Amino acid sequence: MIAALFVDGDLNGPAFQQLQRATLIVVGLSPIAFLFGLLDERLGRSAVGDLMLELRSDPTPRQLRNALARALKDPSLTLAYWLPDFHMYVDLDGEPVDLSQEEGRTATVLNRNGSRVAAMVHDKALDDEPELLEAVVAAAGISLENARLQAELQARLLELTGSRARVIDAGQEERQRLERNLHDGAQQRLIALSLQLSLLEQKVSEQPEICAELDQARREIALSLEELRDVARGIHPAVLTGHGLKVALESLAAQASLPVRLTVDVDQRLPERVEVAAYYVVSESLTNIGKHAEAQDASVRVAKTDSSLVVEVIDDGIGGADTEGGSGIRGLADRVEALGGRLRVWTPRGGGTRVEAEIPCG
Amino acid sequence: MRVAIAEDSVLLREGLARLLDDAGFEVVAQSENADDLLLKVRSYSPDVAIVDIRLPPTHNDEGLRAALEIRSKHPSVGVLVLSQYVEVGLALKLLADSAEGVGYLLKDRISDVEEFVGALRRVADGGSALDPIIVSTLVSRQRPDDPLSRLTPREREVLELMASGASNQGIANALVITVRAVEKYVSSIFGKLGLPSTGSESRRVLAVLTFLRS
Repeated sequence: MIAALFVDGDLNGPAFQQLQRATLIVVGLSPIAFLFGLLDERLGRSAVGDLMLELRSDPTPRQLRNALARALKDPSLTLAYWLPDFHMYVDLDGEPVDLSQEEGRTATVLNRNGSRVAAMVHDKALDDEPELLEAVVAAAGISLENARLQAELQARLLELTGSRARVIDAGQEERQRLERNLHDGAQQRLIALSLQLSLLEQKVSEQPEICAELDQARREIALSLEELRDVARGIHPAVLTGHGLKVALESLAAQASLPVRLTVDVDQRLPERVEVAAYYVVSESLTNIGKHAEAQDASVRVAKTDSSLVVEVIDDGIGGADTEGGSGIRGLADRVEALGGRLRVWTPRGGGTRVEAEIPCG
Repeated sequence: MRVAIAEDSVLLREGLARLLDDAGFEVVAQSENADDLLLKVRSYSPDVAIVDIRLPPTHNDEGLRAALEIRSKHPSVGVLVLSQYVEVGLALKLLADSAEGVGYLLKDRISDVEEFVGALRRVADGGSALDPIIVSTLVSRQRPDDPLSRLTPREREVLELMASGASNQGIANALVITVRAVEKYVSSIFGKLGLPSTGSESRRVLAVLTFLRS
């Protein structure tokens, strides 16, 4: 601007006078701007100093973000950590972060020892202070790396939970398909065959020997059907898919080998994996009670809270149940935990057993 | 007697139709899904509808829903539900309000033609038919201070037949005793279980079931 003024110095006219006035104002102000710049730098320096002090106290990743936000005077500053194996950025909870930027914000990739650690999303204005940014990042290096490791751990945990749930879902689907095939295939055909034999029997009703043989054949079919039914039911409880938890649990309670008080406070259908897990918790627990608990009676309570389904099975037996061995409790815990829930067992000797599962469902 | 059948397996549907035809029923409608059944029940007003509990499209609860809808909208039409598994929970749902004109049998029972036809007639006439597996599950259900232990073995047999929907005549035939003897057993059972005696045979099914499920 000043150079331009010198070049155009001998020009006269009102436009020039205005320009001159404007220039004088700018030139007049520039020492103040210069002073502000200096001040700013000093402030920046002291901010870095404060940051270094804070980092010395080994901050948690969340404190780190707050410290960076303070040092850079950008309260909305966020950090996204780079996971090379997943090839994505995640937050501290391990959830993927989208770096596509909002208006006025920009992302700076932070490297340490030549490898990418994180990205910092901050106000665009900070781009004008690369030194400050650099100093802050250099100071925060090791803490950033720690935070990145923590984010990576969270992401891996999430991935693990997700894959366990997927494995359970896939198994569930496969079992359902098998049960369906048996139901619509072999079982249905056997029933039709048995029906055909009895129609035939009616035609030869005057030949008792043939009738007896046909009868025998029908009895064989009936036995096969019974076996198939047990197999199919073991594969997947169709009543659960068809009619929900309440109906399925009533059947379980009626078939139990001891008196069961059943309370089901669930009016709506829940995600299938939740219903199936709850069903198995009850079914396995009742089987265990029948086999080992020497109980007089049991109670089953299933209730839906805002965010989860709580299943509780209590007996008045001898307690001291084996929670790790062949009791199936480990398997139940796996199933419940794979859905992000938890299974707890209280089984003091002589004090009965209480199994409680809490399964998250929105 | 007019019958409607809802069953998605062609083999079974046609086998059933033939069996019923031979037994002197008039099969007025055959459906492979619940919506079609409901339509035909409205149009042909059968005496009884046989409903497979698993019907398309999802094979979940379409059959049961159709059965419950027929029971509420067409109370004069008997409903016999067939299923490859019998579930106590479902029986209780199906018979929640009344045991009149309703049945729930294992699908295998159709090959025992005489029994099956008997059950179907009972349901069509406003009686009930409950699968023996359901009844025996409920009877053998464990109870604290089981009041059923006060029954004699003979009374237990009568109780089971009664719960499955058999009439006094039916019980008499099954146990080869007189109807009068059956009546005596029935009143003794009701006395021992502390149930109020009911006039109609289907109402007593509900009374017995209510007792058994508690």
